Amino acid sequence: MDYSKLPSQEIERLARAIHPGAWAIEPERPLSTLLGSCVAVCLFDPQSRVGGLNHFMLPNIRRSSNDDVDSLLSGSYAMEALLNALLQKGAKKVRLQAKAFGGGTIINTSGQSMSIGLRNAEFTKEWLDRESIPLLASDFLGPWSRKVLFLPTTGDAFCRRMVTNMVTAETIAREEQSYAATLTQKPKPTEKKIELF
Amino acid sequence: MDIQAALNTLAAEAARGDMVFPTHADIALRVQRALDDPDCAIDQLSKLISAEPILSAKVVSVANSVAYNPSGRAMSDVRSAVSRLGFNTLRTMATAVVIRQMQGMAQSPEHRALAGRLWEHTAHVAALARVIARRVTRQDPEAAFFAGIVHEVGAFYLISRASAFPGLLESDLEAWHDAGEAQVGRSVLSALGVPENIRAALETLWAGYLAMPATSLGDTLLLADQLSPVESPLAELSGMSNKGMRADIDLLVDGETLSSILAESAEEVASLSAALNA
Repeated sequence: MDYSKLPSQEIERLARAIHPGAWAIEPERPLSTLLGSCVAVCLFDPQSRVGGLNHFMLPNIRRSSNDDVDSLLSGSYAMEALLNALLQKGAKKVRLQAKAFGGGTIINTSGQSMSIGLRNAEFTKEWLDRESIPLLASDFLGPWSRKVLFLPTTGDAFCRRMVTNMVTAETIAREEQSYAATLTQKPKPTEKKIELF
Repeated sequence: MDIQAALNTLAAEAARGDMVFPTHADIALRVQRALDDPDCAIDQLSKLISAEPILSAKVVSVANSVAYNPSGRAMSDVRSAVSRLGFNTLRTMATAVVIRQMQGMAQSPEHRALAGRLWEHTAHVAALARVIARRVTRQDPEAAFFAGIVHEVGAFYLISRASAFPGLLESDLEAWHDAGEAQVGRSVLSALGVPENIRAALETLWAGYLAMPATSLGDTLLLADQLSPVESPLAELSGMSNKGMRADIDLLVDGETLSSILAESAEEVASLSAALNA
């Protein structure tokens, strides 16, 4: 099926939903994700036509003087997990292109919540810049939640800013917070498998 | 109040064709019909436009804006302005006048103020869409300009009829953003005889999914709407306002960023939106 010819609502209906903390590569089926303060990065190699998407946030760790380093390593893990999987599927790092979304402020606008979205967005831009992966398009910050659709065969990405009413905000915040809790509570179990670039 | 029921009623009356346009809009609608005539002559058109002071003032002021007059040679007569703008832009101007005059149909000063802010937003989006079409999405700039002018027709209609539904514009209008805007907007666009390619662009706007990077006419319009420094007052009521927060949207266009393109085009956008607001 040529998903790129379908209207966006139809792509949304057929897409595989990716939850906070996860990443995925699909040969054909579109991927979707719903973002609050988290960020989703779509990576695509236009030559081998391999693409995938992740959904992550930097944990807000307050335990020791190494907090910032731990937090950044966690973000790098999310990016590298997707990157490694794409390389295994035949993508070449030098050809990869990125599109990234999210970092919104969907619950109380004062204090921490604002900085979480901003930190996630800044980390994403810096990581891509450091890895020399061009960021072709991005939509960060603001008060909206966002729905992102990604077509892994064409690299097409669509982003919809959404009304964040109380119910949506609570649902997204609950999912993101339970993901954030897993980041702060246990050491990253697959750390030894990470291949650093 | 039952907002969904009110929106359904509005959409149904618009779909039946029971729509009232401002009386002063007659000439603008006649100009539109004249433009549809393949034998339409510039002289005849200029005469028709001159009979409507608001339209002729707008035509001359837009023809003198930096967007249409980069060399800065000012003109003051309708006939020269008509030649400079061309028929497509004149159609947009005639429609702009009809929509602008819908503002006057609002019954209360509060609603008229709301419609005034909506027009300011419309003018910004139209001017931005024209620049984005030319420099970013490589779409027809005049089609994008026209799409910008008509993109809030549903909201103008909603405001003009709001007095029949007391409390409507003081309520939470999430339902307007969800489906009401598209429902009412489709009927108004049809009554105004808006062409199919523009209606398709509006459908993209209402669905809300922006292709990143933006490519189609619909993306051009949606991007202009998201980048406009003046928000629609309806965005606030429906929960879509930026609530004073910064949003950071960017694209790479042939190695240049969208933000740098917009910075270069700021004067063009400002001159055109000012001409529309005049």
